[in-house]
Amino acid sequence: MLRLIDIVLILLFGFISISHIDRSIAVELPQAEFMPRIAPDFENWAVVTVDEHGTWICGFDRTRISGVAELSQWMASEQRNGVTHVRLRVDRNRPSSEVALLQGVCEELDMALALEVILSRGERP
Amino acid sequence: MKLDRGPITRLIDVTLIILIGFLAIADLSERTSLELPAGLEQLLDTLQLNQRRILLRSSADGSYQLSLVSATGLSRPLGVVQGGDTLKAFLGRLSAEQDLAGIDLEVEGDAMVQHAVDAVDACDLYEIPRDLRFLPVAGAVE
Repeated sequence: MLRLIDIVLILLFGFISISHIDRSIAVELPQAEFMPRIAPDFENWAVVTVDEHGTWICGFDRTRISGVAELSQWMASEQRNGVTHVRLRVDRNRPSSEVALLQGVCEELDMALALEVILSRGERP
Repeated sequence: MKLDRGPITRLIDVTLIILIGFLAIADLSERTSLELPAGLEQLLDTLQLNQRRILLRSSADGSYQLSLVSATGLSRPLGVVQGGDTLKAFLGRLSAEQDLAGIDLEVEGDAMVQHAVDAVDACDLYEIPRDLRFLPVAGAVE
């Protein structure tokens, strides 16, 4: 009985140690089923989040941005720190103009932009 | 006389494991088909793409405007598709019945991000080459 408890605890600690705690802001991301799965490289990415109210939040330290100029400044500073890609986490109900806006800033700074999407299991007909 | 139940228990265990294995890999999803509106059916009957591209424009109301792109880059309106599910059904038929070179996806500024992703997802479902472009909002200054 004690041995079984030991095994269960070892398995539990093992799963806890390999689990990933998501520090990102909770946003209802767009959903897709059949898009190809691409694992992001966390080293060179900066994250920009747009929540359901249209608030722009940049990076994991949650810097709030209030305009295009401030966004450009923040991204330029990230670029100086070696960031080459931007990952956009935008609420699925937000207008696409916000994606276009960030895309414009990325093009000016010659940075790549990716839109984060949740993949649900879909079956091809 | 004591009955040896060992082999029977083991056989029951093996049976249960095989049963659980089959349950785990079973496909229990429900499938359905979506009928296209009459206008789109007619469009599929009369359209001849011959390796041309389709322009698909996502609008704020969740509809997608279809246009045919000519070799000179001009676009001719073909029709409107309402909703992501109808779009998937239409693109499925289009890719199966027509010689489609690819789809140019344009997303209007006030269209929801989810609608744009739905269109991309529909293209990826049928492995249709697609180019995605988010249209800038005219006069947007902050």
